[in-house]
Amino acid sequence: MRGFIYTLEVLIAISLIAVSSSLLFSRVPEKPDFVPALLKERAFEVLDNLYNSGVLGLYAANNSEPSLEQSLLSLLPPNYLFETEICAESCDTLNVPGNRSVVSADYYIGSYRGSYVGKRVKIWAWTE
Amino acid sequence: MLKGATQVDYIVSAGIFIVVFGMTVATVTDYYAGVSESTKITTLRSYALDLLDSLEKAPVPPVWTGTPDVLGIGGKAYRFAILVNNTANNYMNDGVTAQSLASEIVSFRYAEMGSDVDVNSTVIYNETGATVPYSVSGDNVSFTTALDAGQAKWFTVYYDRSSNFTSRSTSVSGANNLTQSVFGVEEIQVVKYREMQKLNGAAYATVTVATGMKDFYLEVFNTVTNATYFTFGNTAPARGNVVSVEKPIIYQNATADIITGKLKVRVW
Repeated sequence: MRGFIYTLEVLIAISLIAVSSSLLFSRVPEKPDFVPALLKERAFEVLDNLYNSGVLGLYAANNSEPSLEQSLLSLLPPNYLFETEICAESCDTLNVPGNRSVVSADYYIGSYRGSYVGKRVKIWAWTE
Repeated sequence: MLKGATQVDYIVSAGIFIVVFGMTVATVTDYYAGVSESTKITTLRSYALDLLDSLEKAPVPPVWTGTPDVLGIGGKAYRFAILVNNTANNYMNDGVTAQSLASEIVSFRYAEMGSDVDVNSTVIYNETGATVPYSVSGDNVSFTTALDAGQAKWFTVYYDRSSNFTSRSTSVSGANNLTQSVFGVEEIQVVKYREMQKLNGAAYATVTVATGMKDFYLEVFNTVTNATYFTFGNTAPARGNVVSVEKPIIYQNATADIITGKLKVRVW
C-alpha cells in the first residue's frame, strides 16, 4: 500500500514535469524570415546595376519592358519570380499574384541622353 | 513478500522518472541549441551583408597603407554620352550637303566639362559595346568614326578621377567636319581595379585584425565570360556554418574596361 502511494506520487510529479515542460518548450522558436528583406534588397540592386550598366535609362526611355525583363532574368536567381512595369505615377499590377508575399522596389529615371524621361521602373518580386 | 513488492514499485518509479527527466532535458537542450544556431547564422548573415555593402564602396581611409580600417574596393566612376549626327545642320561649314565621312574626328576636352579627371582611365564604347581607340593630348581626347550621310551615332565615355591605368592613347587620323553633342555626366558605382590591386597586396591576417572582420572570402566574378576575375580571403571550411551572399556589380578591369559581374562574399 505504501509502495503504491510512492509510485502514485512519482507519477504525479512526472506528470507535472511533463505538462510543464511541454507547455514551456512545445513552441519551437520561429527562425527569422530573411526572404522578404533579401528579396527587396536584391530587386533594388538589380535595377541599380542595370542603371550603372547604362541600359535601364534606355529601357525606360524606349518603354522596353521585354528587354528589361530579359536582363533581369540573367541577374536574378532562378527561384525569384518577378513582374516589371515601366510607368509614371500609377503602375498596372496585372500579373502580380494576389496570393503570395510580394515585395516591390521602384527606380526613378529622370532623363536619358539629355532627354526628359520621367519614368518609374517598378519591379514586384516573390519566390516560388 | 510485501517488502519485495515495495522495492519493485520503487524501481519502476525511478525508471519512469529517469526516462521522463531525460526526455525533458533533451527537449530543453534542443530548444536552446536551435535558438543558438539561428542566432549564429543571423549574425553571420549580417556580417556577410555588411561586408558586401562595404566592399562596393571606397575603403576608409581612401588612401591606406598596410590595411584599411573599413574594407572597400569600390568607388565612383563617371560617364557621359556623345552624339555625332551627320546631317547638314551639324557641319561646321555652312551650306554643305551631308555626305559619307570615312574618318570623322570626334573630340572633347575634360577641362571644358569642369571635370577633375584621370585621363588614363578613359574608355569609350560605341553603340554595340565595342571599345573605340582614342588619342590623348593633354586633357583633349579624340577618336574617329565613319558615318553615312544622315547617320547618327552614339558613344559612351567612362572615366575615373583616380586610377593607376597606363595610357591607352593611340594615334588617330581623320578630318573634323561635324560638331557633336556632349551630354551631362552621370555618376555610377563601380568596383575599381586600383582598389582590387591594392587589397591584393595586403595580408589577409592583418586585414581581418585591423577591420575586426570574421573569416571571409570575396570574389569578383565576370558574368560575361563566367570566369573569376579577383579573389581575396581565406578558403571556406568544409564543415560548419558558412553564409554566402552576392550582388550584381560592374567593375573595371586592368585596361579600364567596364565589365558586368557579380561580387560574392562568404563569411564563417
